[in-house]
Amino acid sequence: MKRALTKENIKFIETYLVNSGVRYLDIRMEMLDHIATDIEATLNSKAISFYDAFKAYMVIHKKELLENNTKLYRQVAAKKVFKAFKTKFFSFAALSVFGILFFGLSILEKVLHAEQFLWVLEFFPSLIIGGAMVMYALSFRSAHGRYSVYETLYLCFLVAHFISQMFLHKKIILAFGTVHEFLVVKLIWSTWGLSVLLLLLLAYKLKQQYKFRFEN
Amino acid sequence: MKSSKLYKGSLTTIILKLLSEHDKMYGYEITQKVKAITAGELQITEGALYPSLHKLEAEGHLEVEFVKVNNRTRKYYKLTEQGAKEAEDKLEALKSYMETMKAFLYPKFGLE
Repeated sequence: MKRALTKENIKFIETYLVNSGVRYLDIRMEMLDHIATDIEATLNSKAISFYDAFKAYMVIHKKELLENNTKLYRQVAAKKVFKAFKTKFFSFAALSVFGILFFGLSILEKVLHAEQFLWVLEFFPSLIIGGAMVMYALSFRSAHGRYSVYETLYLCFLVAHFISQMFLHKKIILAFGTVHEFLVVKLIWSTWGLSVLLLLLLAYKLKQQYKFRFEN
Repeated sequence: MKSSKLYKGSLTTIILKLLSEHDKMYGYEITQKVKAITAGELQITEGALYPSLHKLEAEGHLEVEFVKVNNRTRKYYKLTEQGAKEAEDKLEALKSYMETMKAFLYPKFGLE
């Protein structure tokens, strides 16, 4: 009968990887399986203990295994986020949401006083992105660890917040025309609002995926 | 990989070819298959393999499946439709490259 590693052996390898700086669970999971499979192959071909097999593996492979750990995986995570975002951004549903946001802003422009509408344009994005970031920060760390793609999304929220501060500032809003002619600002706000909603949707879907894959 | 820059550019093609011949494979399995096919001549390291696999996944050429195996989670890779097309293109490109290099290594002169 082929020897398989015990839960304690698996936990030992995982702890070693965590202590060696492999922070993200989605990356660590795959490394752990690779190491464990190699060790199992060794144990099934030689009379050797788990710890000796583990040491022998790490002596040869540790440097390469850990060398490109963060940088390359972060680049790949960014690529995944961008691809998913791009696919959803140029969809009919996204166009509909954009239309609803723009229409909603146009209604607000008509019913609110000029100063009130200006307040909405300037401060509302900060409230939304601030709330989204707090919710995101509270929820992204599960009891099991951190995920590389999820944290890349978190960086996107920070970028969205930065953009909102740059382009939805009172002086910039007024520079686009009078208080009642905010066409360009409404377009920018609607695009920004759509982007934040898409990021939230991606974050929720990722969370569900990771929950299913790693926490069951 | 055996430390030769000649092999370095072929890793993606090797991965795509193997996955085109198998329903799904996991990382360690890919390294062992390559080692077996080449009788140990070519050994793909973890540091080379996993970034390539993840890049192919991010580009949409591969999809993944997670399976519980022996107290841990294993990630399997399989080709998407896009990946199957990419595999064909890459193999064609590699064959063309090999023909070109063959002509260069064994040139035919004059009236032969």
